[in-house]
Amino acid sequence: MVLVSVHRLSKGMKMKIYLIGLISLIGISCNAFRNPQDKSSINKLMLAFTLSNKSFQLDNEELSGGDTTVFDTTSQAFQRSAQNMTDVDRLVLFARGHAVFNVTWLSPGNSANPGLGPTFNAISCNGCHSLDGRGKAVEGSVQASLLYRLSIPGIDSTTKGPLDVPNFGGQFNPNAITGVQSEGTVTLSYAEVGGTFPDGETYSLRKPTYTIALNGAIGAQPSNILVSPRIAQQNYGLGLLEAISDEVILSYVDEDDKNGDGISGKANYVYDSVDGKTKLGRFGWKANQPSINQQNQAAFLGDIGITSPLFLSENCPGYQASGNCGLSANTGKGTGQAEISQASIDALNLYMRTIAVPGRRNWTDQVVKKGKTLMMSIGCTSCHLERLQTGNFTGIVEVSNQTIYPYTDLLLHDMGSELADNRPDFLADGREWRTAPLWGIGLVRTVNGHDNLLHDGRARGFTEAILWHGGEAEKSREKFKNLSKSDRESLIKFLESL
Amino acid sequence: MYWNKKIIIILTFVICGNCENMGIKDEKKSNNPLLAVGYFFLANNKSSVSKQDIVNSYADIAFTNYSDSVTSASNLKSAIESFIGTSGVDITNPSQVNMDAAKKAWIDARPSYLQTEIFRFAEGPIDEKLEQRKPEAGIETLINAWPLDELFVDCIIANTTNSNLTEANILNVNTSISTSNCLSFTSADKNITVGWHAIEYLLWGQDTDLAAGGSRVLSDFVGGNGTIAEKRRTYLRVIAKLLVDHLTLVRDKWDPSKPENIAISFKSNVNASLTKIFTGLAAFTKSEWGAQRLNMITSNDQEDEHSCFSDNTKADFYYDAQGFINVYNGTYKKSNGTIYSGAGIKNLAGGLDSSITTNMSLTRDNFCLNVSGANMALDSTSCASGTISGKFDQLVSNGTASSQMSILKSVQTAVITIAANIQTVAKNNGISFSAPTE
Repeated sequence: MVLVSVHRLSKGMKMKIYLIGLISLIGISCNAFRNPQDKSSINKLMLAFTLSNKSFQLDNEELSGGDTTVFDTTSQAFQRSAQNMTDVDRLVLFARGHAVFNVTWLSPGNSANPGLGPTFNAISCNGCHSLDGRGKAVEGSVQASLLYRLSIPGIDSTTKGPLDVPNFGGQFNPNAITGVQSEGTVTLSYAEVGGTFPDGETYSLRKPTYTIALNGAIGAQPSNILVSPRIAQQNYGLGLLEAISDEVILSYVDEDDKNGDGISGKANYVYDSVDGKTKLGRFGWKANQPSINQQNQAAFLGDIGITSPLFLSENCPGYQASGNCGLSANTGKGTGQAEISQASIDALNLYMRTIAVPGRRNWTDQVVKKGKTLMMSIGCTSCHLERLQTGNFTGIVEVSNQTIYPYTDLLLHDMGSELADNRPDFLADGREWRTAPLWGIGLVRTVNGHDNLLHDGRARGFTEAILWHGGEAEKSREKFKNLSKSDRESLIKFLESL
Repeated sequence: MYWNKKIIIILTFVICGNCENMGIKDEKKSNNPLLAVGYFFLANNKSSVSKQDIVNSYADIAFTNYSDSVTSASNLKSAIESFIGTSGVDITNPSQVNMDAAKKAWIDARPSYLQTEIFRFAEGPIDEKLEQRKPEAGIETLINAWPLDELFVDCIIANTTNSNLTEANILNVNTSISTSNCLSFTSADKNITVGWHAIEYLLWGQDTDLAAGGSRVLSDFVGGNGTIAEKRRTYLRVIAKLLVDHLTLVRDKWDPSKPENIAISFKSNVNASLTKIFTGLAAFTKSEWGAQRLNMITSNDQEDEHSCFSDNTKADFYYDAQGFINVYNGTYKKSNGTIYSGAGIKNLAGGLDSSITTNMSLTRDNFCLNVSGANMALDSTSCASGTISGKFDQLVSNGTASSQMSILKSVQTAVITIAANIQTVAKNNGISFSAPTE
């Protein structure tokens, strides 16, 4: 019907219609490339780019978060509302969510904001995700924004997830309200491990050791305890990642590496506490959370000790139920009442889903462009996928139908023994981690004053982070090491521009 | 190879051709209706008032306002000393009359301080860190931090000796006076021991019901050597003095006659200072005044109010709005009644002026100041219809559907509209600006 009237349209419109036709045709080819079985085609394609000396630059690639993208290079860069959120009523909701994010929670018995604990990691969301940014790993015993997941071998019969440590649960809480036992102490220490690039340049990596001493007054520390350190991640762009359809994510799965490119891509399937069903996991270091809603409420309970509509019971496993929970009951909310309201959770969910992704800097710089070409040519983008499309997200129009540049596939990959936590998390085994999104990562230093990367913040900057990559990423890591110094620097410049 | 290249060219073409359809805009081309008005008036904001005048007035108002605040906080300190004595002459049997007078002095001292809150987040003296405090905290945290952990303050008073309650020890909460019973967590946010709300807590006590303010009774302060009442008196005396000291530090930075002042350089760096002013205004409106202070709209937590012990929260909102109005208009009514009149952001607002003016009046005048007396009962002041006439905690406890709550929601909408407008005004005037939040 449209084609019939082509001759009556302007030249520009005609072009658009022809393009739509082309898109339909090319779409078939694109789908073929997305299919993991055809990854070799993608490699050929990339080779073609390299040989023809063309840039990989895409139009609008500076808009990392599509229409949500905000260009801000100050310490506030991770807290901006989506650029396409312009209606004042939406901005009010965003502000309310931001307020929830910043609430300082106090011990039960206080007049305002009671409910903290009985045990906890932090007293506010902002306490770990400072300025909605990334946590820092600090040597010693004070772990402000690094938490530790705990389990023992086995599978929980309800969730099919990790099995809790008796009396301590699934997360280590080193802090407690007055009159309550904390769960113990932890110490982080580093050993420097040196290495050399083929060109002779030396480097040093810090290899962490975590020593957890659980409080014996609460319970015995199992000899087979599994510990997984995890640092607080940045909060922007989460709604966009949630708006990507399962189908798109699953189209990159290649669990058995049928195409033989050495890259698997495995989906995690996790427990959804809202309906008790199994869902595709996409948030957290091991993709063990299915939604922002569940991630937020789980963090309130696990990190701050705040009960919510989804998790109504205090975090008081085993022995702790007798003493600790009694002291945390006096919140003035009454039995069976959550310490945080559904309205506050709704506001926080909206906030977390609509924080703007920071836009790129220097994306047209020749060195940056070269760095991008190198990054693609050594295979990093097999997992750190450059470009994805979001679908419809009911109620969150800002993140719906956006073309985004997140540099992740949201899938699990074997990262080798050096990064392994050896603690399974649903379908993720002890060596597997979710591909970390790289958008905005060049601004972490500006916002949080450090460049600690990877799941436990061990890497000091991009080079160290790449050098830690093992397992499926080993080939790419070796290619990186074999680049000339100037090429390595170009690649880092590209990462800094994200 | 040739085939592959062709695909690439077509692919690139398709991606480009598609951009228009994706509706991607850069930041300058916002479709925000609030912003659009501003652009329209961009050409019309020429004004006889210079940016220098605006920066000068901002600094002058800051100095005058903090001066008033030091004076009123000193009056509070004097009233507290009349109530419980000085460190040299302790009053072991204080009177109800003097306790009520001290509470009144706290209420009377709040308006001038609250008006200074608009000077926050602008990299000014109020945002500086104070090293004596452990863990290190901004001086604002020492003056007006909230929420206060009452149990922590009680625990310190209960677990230390009177002679240990020195200024240095109360500021350095992590080592000297807190015991393992009180402190299990190192956090500048949690370990609040000083400031307006600590004094408020000592005077009014915990508030857990809707009937009145806090539950502090005179007998909490009555008792001789070695009693907990003695320690409570000592603690209150020390934090009253610290409040005056900390406010004085901030005031002196704005005093052009003091060697440590920043006022002179602030006035001489017009563009940098204007950026700071807008940064502060946007942060305070968007993040603090328009968000944190209104958290009760979603939390539905009865005592989730800034002055929960005294029930004075309506004054917090009223005078925070007045502070914005002062800077926006470039005017300030001093404590002695005289009026300072200079230049304000209004002179840069162009076509957004009427929206900002309307909204800022609403954010102030929707709060009817009819809570008074030492126990903060509702007085007989008649409140205009459409204003918040009840007590603040009652408003919150009545739930989200009440008409008073809808007034509060309209205040939030107005503040957030102001925040959006302020960002546009900055942009329209070529002021390098990015809206920060806390």
